Amino acid sequence: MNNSGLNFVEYTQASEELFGKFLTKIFTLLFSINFLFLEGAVISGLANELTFSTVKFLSPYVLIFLTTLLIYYNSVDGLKIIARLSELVFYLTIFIFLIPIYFINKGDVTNILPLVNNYSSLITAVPTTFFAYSGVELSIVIIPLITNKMGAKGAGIAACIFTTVLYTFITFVTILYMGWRLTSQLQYPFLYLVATTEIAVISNFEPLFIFIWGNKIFQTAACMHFGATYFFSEATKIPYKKSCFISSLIVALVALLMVPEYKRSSLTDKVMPYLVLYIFIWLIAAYILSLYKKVKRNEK
Amino acid sequence: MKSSRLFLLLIFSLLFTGCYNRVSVEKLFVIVGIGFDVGKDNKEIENVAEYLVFRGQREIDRGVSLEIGKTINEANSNRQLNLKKNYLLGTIRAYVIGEERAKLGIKDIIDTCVRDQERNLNTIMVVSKGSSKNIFEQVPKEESTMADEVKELIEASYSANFFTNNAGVKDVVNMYYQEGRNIVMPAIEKKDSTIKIAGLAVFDRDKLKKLIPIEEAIYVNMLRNNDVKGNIALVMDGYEKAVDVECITKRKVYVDREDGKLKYIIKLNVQGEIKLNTYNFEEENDEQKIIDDVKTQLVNNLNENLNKIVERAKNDYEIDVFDIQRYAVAKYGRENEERIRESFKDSEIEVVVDAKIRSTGRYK
Repeated sequence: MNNSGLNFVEYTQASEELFGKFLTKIFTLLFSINFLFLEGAVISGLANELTFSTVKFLSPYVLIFLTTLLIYYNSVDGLKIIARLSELVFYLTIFIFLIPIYFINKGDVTNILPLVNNYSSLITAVPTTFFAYSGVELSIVIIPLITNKMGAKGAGIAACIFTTVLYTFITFVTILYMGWRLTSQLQYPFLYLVATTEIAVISNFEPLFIFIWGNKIFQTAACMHFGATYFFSEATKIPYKKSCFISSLIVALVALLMVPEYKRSSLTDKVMPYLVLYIFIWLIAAYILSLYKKVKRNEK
Repeated sequence: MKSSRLFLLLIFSLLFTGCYNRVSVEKLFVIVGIGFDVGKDNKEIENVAEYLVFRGQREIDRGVSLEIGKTINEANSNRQLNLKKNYLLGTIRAYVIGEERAKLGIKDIIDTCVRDQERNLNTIMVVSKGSSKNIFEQVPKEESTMADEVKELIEASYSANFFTNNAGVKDVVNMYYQEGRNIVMPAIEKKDSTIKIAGLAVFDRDKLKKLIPIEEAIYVNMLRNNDVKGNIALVMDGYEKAVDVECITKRKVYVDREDGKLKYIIKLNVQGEIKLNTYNFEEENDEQKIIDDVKTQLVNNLNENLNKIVERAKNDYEIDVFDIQRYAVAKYGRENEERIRESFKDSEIEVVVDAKIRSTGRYK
């Protein structure tokens, strides 16, 4: 392994060399809180949306319990199984791309015109999109653990582009079809959009979308659980398997706090800006420090 | 060890996810149509429901129930007091809004149709001339329920008279929320012992403003909708000297500002197919000449009728029925929306018709 630019070291080692032992402890704890919160938000979001749309007869608490159980089972054996799951679910994600294509010629271009109404509102809206992309910080942990790092850089860039394009495309198509006013008033705009289709046999795209999206969310939560567990065990020095169980319990509790959707959105609106700001500052600080300090190569 | 863990997990999930204590299918009514009316003093809501009753194997009957309540869902729960079975709202085929109810406002109907996840967004929504009770009181002839007849009627209207097939709840909601648009729904009426399309119902925000009769509605449709089909009859002298042209229209709208006034230009591209021609039939004329003749006649006819309807819209309806203000909002920004809405009467609307005869049929 002697590719230039690909000498990744493990997170704790790098962080200790950059920030020192004490700060690393705090940062690791903060990272673990970040992931625990994100995962709780994702799981409660899944439970809320499922009880709202397809499984009305289930209580969200049961769903949260089952999902956390499954996620625990999935991530207790480490990164390998999560990687397999991610690979499987990735092909399903392509279908999420296909669904909005159906709506492209159904919308009206006047719904998105004028493209720029005033610039100040455009700029103030930019930070809110950061929250949608949070979770990418997981790569800090994952990349050093991958044995074959050859394609890591390219895959990372491709994944970023894919996610950004998918997110922008879906938002664009939704506003193209419904207009901004209805989109901003709906709880789940894209779910409304897929429910407006008329197709034989399955009646509309809603069940199909819920299936694909549910898988995707499960995978996202499993990835985040790996991050949460990793940071938790690094911060508290509890072995990985044990901390996986403990963090599952914490996540379930966090998710229970956010059970009706309005509670979830109000809580995430309050907490997310701080988390995103923290990660931003950490990344910039780490980047600047790493320019001046030479980090030793990983011995393993 | 691993497989047993997985097995335990699956058993565990199964234990938690059941439909225990839910109403089973055979104990459900199928509600197919809902009518909205107002009761006494315009304070109460009359809610008409048409439902299917299954008796035994092959016997299917229909029933109509009228309930009164202060809100839509109160009336719905009152219905459960005298129905012997449970019902679902997702099976509704058509909503019929009574004229009086529409005049008072349909904000609550739109809200509950979007908010209530059980309701389907593709259900047809129409306005009825008179109360919706009159519609559901009839005995269905072609379909098994009146709601199905309404749905089929609206869906079939697409192939003629320049109607669109956008009459679902989703389209009404879109018209309600999108900037610079007004709700326009098809209107139906009771005729003899069945129903027919009576024209268009135009709403100002959520209140019914005007019912446009079908003779005018055809031309409103023509200016309003893109890519629709209909027949234009050019009558010279009775049916013995007439030309029928089946037209497919393509519409484009341009907005401009001229000395403080908004100027809309509606460019209408008409592709015609001659279906009947008794006018030039016996004359041994040049083919090109006949086509040119029909074309100029068509353009003149359309110009006359469309300009008449534009004048009528400006002076009589006083509301944008042509769905053109959205283009002005798109061009001049959403902060001007109110001004654009109010200025419809003073704005200038120019219709430019461009016709093309695509075929003359089997005859030359």
